[in-house]
Amino acid sequence: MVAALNAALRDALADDDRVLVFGEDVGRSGGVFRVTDGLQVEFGDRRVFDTPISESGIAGAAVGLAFAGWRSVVEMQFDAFSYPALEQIVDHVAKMRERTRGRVDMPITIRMPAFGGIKGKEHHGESPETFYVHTAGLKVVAPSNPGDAYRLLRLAIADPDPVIVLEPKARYWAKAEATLTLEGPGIGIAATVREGDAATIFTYGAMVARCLDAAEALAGDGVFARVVDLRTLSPLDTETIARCVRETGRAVVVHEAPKTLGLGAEVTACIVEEAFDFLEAPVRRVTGYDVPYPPATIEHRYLPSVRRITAAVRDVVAY
Amino acid sequence: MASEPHHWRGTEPRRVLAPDGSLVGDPDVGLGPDDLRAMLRFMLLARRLDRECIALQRQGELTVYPGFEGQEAAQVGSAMALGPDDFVFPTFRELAAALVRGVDPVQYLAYHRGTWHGGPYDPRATRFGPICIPVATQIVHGVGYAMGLALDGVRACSLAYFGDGSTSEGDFHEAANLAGVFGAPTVLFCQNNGWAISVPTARQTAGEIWKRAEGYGFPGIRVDGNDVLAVYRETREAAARAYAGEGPTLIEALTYRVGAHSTADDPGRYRGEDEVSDARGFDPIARFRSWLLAAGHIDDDLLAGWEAEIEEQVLTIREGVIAQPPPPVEWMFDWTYADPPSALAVQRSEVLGG
Amino acid sequence: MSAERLFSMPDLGEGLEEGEIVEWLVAEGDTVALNQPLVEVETAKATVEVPSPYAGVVISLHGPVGSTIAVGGALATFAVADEVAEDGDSSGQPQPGADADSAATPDQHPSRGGRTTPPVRKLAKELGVDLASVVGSGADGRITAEDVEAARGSGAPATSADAASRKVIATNLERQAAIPQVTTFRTVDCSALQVFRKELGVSPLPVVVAALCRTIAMHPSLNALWGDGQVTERDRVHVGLATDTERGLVVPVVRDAHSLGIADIAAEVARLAEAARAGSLSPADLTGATVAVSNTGSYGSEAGTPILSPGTSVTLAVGVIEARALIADGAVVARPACTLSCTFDHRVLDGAVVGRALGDLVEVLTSADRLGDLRR
Repeated sequence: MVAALNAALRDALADDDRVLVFGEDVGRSGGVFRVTDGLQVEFGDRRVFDTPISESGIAGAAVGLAFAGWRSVVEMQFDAFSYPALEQIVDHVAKMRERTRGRVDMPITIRMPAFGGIKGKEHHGESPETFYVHTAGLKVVAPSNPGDAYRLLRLAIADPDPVIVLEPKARYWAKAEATLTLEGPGIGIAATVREGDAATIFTYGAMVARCLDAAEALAGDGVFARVVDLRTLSPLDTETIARCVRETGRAVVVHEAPKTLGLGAEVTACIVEEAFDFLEAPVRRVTGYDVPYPPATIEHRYLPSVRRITAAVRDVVAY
Repeated sequence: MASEPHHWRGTEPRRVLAPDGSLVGDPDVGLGPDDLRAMLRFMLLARRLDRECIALQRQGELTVYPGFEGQEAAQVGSAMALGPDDFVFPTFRELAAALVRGVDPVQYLAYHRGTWHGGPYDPRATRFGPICIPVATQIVHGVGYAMGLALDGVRACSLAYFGDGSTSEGDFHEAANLAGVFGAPTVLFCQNNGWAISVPTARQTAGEIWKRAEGYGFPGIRVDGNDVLAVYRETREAAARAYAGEGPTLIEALTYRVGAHSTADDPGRYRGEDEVSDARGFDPIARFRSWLLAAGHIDDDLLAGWEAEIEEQVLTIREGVIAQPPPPVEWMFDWTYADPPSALAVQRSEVLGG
Repeated sequence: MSAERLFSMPDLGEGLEEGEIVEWLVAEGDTVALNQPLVEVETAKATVEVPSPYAGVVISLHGPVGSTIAVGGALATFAVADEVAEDGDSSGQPQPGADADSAATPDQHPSRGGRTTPPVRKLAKELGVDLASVVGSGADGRITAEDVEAARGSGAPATSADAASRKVIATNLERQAAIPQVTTFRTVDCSALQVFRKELGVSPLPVVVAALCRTIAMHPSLNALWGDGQVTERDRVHVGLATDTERGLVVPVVRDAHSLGIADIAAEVARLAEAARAGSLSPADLTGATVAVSNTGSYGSEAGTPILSPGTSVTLAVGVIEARALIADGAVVARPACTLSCTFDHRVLDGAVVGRALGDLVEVLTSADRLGDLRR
């Protein structure tokens, strides 16, 4: 995925000379995950540059730069380090268009390595998506694979609205065949990544791969679960969610974020509103627990496991 | 002579006109008589309008209004020093600066009427940012804007207004640091008016604000914020530095907030009347007016004429404010996104019954 | 030309609800200028001087010193020169929202066509009804609970529901069979009863129930029950009426029959019978009998050995009333008569006690005077 993201940034910088890429360690060293590798060399330190450790400053500078007609693609070095920027993001990035009645727009992209599963230190495995999805004025995407990562990042950069890009760091180095192209579904459209009719598993980010493993295990027992990669968390693809529940009658939502007020709650509400009559069983959520993200040695007990996912699917199928 | 405000002590600020009206510096700041007269007139209009806004709030026509009486020189002097391509990032107290920059006051006051956040004026057209409540956040915007100017090689600068209270916020530090590292063509203009609601400057920060600039690697200036000529000169020089690619400047303008923090505030709870009446002894308008009279640039007839005109102007603004209707409710939905999600369209039609 | 303008108490702080008049700075009749100090108001936060919003003449001041005026309440009325037609809101308050939001439609639930709702699906599963074969009569063709019930009772081959209720009946009877029960019989000359009940316009059953309650009052042990190794007497008499329906035997209960007159008993019997026919008896209707009466005569039985209804120690079956040859004054006469078959729980009652009680019951039923004493 790193290569795909890198290509997306490169192509965006080449495509539009108002695009800037900046953040901590993104310039000379190419980013702590190498996502911005080589960009400064190619485009110069005028457009690809390092900043001091200053997340609020980074986000606020992007706001000021937008006033001056620049299109910033900033990096927050890790998910939890976006929190100092939360005020600038919520108060200004998300609201400036509304506040100025469209006169000043915020074509800002804020990317960050997100989610857990890398045996990281404290604050390196957060799932902050709820804060951003809940903030009107923002869009939030979470690609799960290189192809989507390329396309969604390109679209995010081109979007006149501000977009938060949550990159599953546990998948940064996962290899896959992919054609890197802008062709394909836009922001706001989910993908069915595995067909099935017994139940639908809704998920995103690093959990997509895990849900596919779970679906494979279930198929061995004759339970054919559909897996849907939400891809965009805001706006949520409610049409696909409703259609899948109409067709399969059962739903399981899987995410790393803690259970309470995670995306699972929103998906469940959406299902109740849009496909209630078709529910054969309650919606189940397989999520992180309502605790701070745990240390590396027991992280695997917190994250949804294949076993927990298959058990939930079996539960709804047997209801 | 009344004692000067407590937070003015320490390093002697730069001055042209002393508080008693006497000349202590070179009055030739590069302005001709017409501009000098315009400067006073702006200050008089600003004060009169500020008082009218308080009355309007008391009459229920404006919601909470933050007055700036006493700070006219700090705002008018600095705003007049900027060029047409420069961009101002204000807080919520810069009505006087807005007037100088040509923002329509009725549109500006729409913010305080609750008609729309930020005020419905076009920031790009007026080069005056939306009214900003979260203090210090706008300083970062000013720096980012200046970085954008530098990238484009434009000969202009940004100026961010903020108060002494803002300098405690992390964003002040981050903005100043970024400005220094990037050599941003920006002016960080602090109106140190002695009070952050009820907290005096001495309890806000232990050092002198202008000195912090050294830590960030650029010049800091302390100026008498109630001396409009000095304010003008220092701001003009800071802007010139910025145009020349010499980077940012921090200006600490010493002034005094004569009124309450806002119409929802009761300053009697935390400061005495003596302090306020003493501060009026350092009034920016009185000082400048007496010098202009002495220098023969104005006379009483002119002042009388201005007073009548300003009454008319303010009455017109009053009527404009009162006539302002609430916004159409669909505005709530129309500008959240350039490309709104369909779910929002559903919510919009629920509200509009369509 | 002048117009009147009302100035309402503004919100002088943030979210204040009222203000107290401290001092009026003008008087009624005064001519005032715009922004001239009008009144001093004390709020929760501070004392505030309010300037006049109009130039004109003060017509009235709407509150004496010391009075409290709510935000939005009338403060002062002015006569102002009406040069320009004012379009603004004369109350002078900044208006928060344009539209009449009180008429706003509540958040609309998006209507979706569908098959059915989860609870109906659950019901169908319990009743063994295949949803695919049911036609929905609800909104958007949705299958309703009634649709499912109808599918079950529509002459389809015996579903699991019928088998289930048969099983319940069998279980109950097996349990009752464990009780040592004895049945004793009495023949009753119904001449007086028939005359009496026809006069009242009721069937014999309510009269029998009333007479039985009178008998129980004299012989309370008939209303007792065996349990936990002892006999427990009960004060209130709830008479179960064993009733045959399409769905099998049901025993609706006339509660507190001892306190009802014959007419009320008749009305309640009718109500319960109708409900039993319609299948709308509630669980409350079907529980709590302390004694039971079975109208076996309604299907022609002369006499029988009724099984005790659960919760009772006495179940009385009333056989068919028809002409019989009886002996009166030494001669054979044709009289309307029936046989009462009374089963009792021998743990609670002995033959002699029941015999005496039945004797008293028969005496009431066969005497015009005693029948007349029954509460109507």
